[in-house]
Amino acid sequence: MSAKAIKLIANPTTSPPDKNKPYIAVDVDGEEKWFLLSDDATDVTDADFDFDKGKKAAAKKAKKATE
Amino acid sequence: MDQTLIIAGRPVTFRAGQRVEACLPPHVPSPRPGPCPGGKKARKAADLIKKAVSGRGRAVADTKAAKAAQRKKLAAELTDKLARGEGFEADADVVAEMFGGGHITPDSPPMNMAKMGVKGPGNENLFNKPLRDIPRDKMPALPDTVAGLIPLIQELGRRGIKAELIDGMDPRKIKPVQTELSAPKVAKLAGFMKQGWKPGGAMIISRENGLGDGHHRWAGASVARMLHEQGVEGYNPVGVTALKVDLPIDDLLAIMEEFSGPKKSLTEKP
Repeated sequence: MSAKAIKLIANPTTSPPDKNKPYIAVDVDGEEKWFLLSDDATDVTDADFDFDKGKKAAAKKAKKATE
Repeated sequence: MDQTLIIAGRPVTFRAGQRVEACLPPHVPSPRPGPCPGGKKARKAADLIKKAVSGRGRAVADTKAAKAAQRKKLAAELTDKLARGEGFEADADVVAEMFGGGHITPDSPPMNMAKMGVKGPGNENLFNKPLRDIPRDKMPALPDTVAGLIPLIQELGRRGIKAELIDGMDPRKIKPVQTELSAPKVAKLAGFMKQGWKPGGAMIISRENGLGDGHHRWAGASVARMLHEQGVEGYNPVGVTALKVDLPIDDLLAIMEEFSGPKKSLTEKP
């Protein structure tokens, strides 16, 4: 693991890899670098938090197991 | 006294004192055919056979198999418990079995992983011990464009807040603040992170390693790291990149809230 002091850049001079994504510009040792604060692979939706649906599926499974 | 050992699913019987290093039985799979296969696999098999002949190996093999079966059973029970919305603390090897053994997959029904705790050194922040109790729909959501983030960066600069870039950080050192985590999504992300953290990606954390945003990426990285430590094949020791802002978590969340994009529950965005 390595740690170094940086500066967050509010007025970047270089272009981000994609301006429609949450990229943040950072000054690392005098060099401007871009970091992405999200990941498309996450793609979480409200349906993923419908825990009642999970509970119903678990109850159904338990019922099936006892039959 | 003769001894029987199950090798490659078949019982193989040996006489006590029989020399086994030189020649394995013909149906034992080995890297090379022939009377003396050699190689790591064959040496391992020969060791097992030697132990079996001495009477110790069978007991060791039986104990290992029994433990694995017990772990599998417990993983299935705890997965059902999680699906029912019940909380628990589990050993890391059982949690590894839940994810690595196919009990929780990206296709599993929704279940809240933040109800589950993981025992053992290094796992203290996983997953039911959040620094703050904030449900997902109350969390600030970072703007999802470069332009949207600029006012937040300007405000941090105006306040003179210092920051640090940390590379290769064990994700389990980061402390969550969110009380809802979708286990199937975490399983999916853990799978993506088998090889490691996505280059160029970062998470914002507070002075005390509190997580500002990206709880599913954090949980996915933590599960992948744990699976590696439990010896699950194919997983590397994930080290994440963190932008550490010199603010206490409450101040960081407050400033993020000020510049928050639309709340996640309304937009259905990551």
